[in-house]
Amino acid sequence: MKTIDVWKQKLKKIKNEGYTYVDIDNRRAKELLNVIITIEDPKKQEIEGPLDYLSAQHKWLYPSKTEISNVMFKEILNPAYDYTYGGRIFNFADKFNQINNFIIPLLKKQPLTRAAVVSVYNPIEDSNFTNTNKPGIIMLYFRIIEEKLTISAVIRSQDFFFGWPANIYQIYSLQKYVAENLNVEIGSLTTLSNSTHIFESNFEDINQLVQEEK
Amino acid sequence: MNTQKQKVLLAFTKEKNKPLSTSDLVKHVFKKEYEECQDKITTPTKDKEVIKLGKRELARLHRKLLYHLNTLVQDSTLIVTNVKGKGEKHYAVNTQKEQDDYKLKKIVETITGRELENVDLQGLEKFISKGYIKKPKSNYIRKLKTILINPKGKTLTELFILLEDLMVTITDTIAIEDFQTLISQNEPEHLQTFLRKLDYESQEYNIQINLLLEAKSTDQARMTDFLESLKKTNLKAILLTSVEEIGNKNRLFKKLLGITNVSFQNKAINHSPIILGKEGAYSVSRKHWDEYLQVKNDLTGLLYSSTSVVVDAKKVFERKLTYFEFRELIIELAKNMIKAMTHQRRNADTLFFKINHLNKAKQKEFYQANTSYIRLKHIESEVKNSDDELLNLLESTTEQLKEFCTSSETIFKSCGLPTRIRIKLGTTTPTSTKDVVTNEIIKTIDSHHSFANIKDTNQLITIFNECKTALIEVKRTESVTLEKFI
Repeated sequence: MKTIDVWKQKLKKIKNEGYTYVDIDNRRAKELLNVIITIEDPKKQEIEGPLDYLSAQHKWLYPSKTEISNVMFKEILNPAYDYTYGGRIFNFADKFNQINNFIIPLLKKQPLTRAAVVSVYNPIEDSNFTNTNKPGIIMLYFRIIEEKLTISAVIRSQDFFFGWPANIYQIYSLQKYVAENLNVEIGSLTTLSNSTHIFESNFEDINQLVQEEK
Repeated sequence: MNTQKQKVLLAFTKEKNKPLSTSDLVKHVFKKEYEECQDKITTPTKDKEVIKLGKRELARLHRKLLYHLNTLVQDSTLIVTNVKGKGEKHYAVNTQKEQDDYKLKKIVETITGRELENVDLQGLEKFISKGYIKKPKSNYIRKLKTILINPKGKTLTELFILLEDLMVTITDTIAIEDFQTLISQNEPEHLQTFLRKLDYESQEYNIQINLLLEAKSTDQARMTDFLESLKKTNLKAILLTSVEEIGNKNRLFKKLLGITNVSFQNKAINHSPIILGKEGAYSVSRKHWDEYLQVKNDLTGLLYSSTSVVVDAKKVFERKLTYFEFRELIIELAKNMIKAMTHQRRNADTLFFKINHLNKAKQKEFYQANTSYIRLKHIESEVKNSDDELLNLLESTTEQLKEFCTSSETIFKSCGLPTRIRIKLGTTTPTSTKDVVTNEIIKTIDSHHSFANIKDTNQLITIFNECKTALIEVKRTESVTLEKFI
């Protein structure tokens, strides 16, 4: 199944089966817990499908692919952002490059390891009541299976309509980077989203997207 | 890099590196002195001594510049393109050379257009062709609009060097806060030299300077003398005060009210300083100002605004743009401004290297209050001449714009780009208390408030306290108008 179809299918599921709640910013939303999606054979063009759809809409301005993937790699914290995934991944707590100094050498040395974990969540910074901008992706797990590099991401909270397309693109970009450095092929890409939600303000847009499927 | 060398290089940015002669460069680098020489050379009295003096001074300027030109040629920054006439050399920037100097690198990039992304306004063609939008300069995303500078701990010389450095990055206004401390701590003659240099440089870069100050704990005579001296400059002073203070320092304020370049801000109403820029007024919210005050010791200042676009409201409403189209215009502009902010964000490390370096410990806080403006030119007269419908339109558009910014922030956040998106509707004129309609509209679209308890009647401006007792009364003149109260 194409990535865009997986996206549409899950959106429909959340809309039909999700339970309604009102969030801290007083927005009505529907939510499902712990939604797992696996893209067995991620290809760049396929991965970009949902992103391209959102970017083509006139109603809103969606960030560019360059900006979306840049934040996954930018080591230094850009002053305009509260955090960047890149900062957490490549320069955790201003101390540790989790990819270049751990994941890549580890998987080179022990391709069968089950310890290739990247932590994006930093309890020292994020586990406090006042910080309202905590990263969505909190953990990444790499594993080589049948000489292919698989990646799994745990996403604490995800706006499934606007966020998932960008997140899978970011995760795929990182997977590709690590795979190229290991000289292995790309395997499956999995997201486990704890809070998978859609906002009522986007229901109409979601209906339109899902109807286009027919 | 030496300022004069910088000015030489900036001259080449105007016409994309068209070769310039020594005379062209003298005109650019020593603008004022060159004009003075020309006045002498072409004196209507035809006094030979005066003409000779003018020529001698001009030759001195040539010699002075040739020294810098030679060093720039020696280090391969400039190349001699040809020699014409009586041996006058023509120069161009050597765009092939890898530049180490940050400013020079930026100048060369401007000349060559290197790294310049497509920044044309998109989706607005039909509005641009009708002249509704003043198209911003192509480099507008490479610069910031308006910043506030904290002078704490800097000598006048250090402050001047900093301001001179920042002028390359700013297109509208630099405001210096707590200026009363500089008045207290420095000798009047040193302050005068500082003002003269600042006035000259700011005009060269076409930047407005605001000096923000308070009357507290400053020698009143010293402050009056200082503010009087501003008359000779293009610098603006904004006195942050209150109705009570005006009542208590009646004599001082009577004098200050008569000084052309001085405006008054009621800090009891507007908690954070308002900056009066070339394009209009700039403000930050109370929340952001309080946050700034908490960390200001670690900051060189605060970014008030990074981008703005001007819409000609007169044309828009004269030509009967429908309300639907007007809203479409504003939202499309907002999208373009988000794109511009995105570019600035992505390239902040190089574009605003100096500022980021100075605010190293608290970079994020420097950008925190940043607001972009869509400025409606002539909106006051449009409101005056129309019914409530236009006011309602502006109110609903303001609301729509706010919602658009919030939803864009949500989209960006959900994509792992947690950032602030603030775009406001504004006017191109500073706030005034001139009439109720203007106030209403300014309150609606710019979150500004008028100075409290003030009236302009019978050629007199009167400021009252809360019990409606007149505290001060001054005659309205050309320089004493209600425009002075922001």
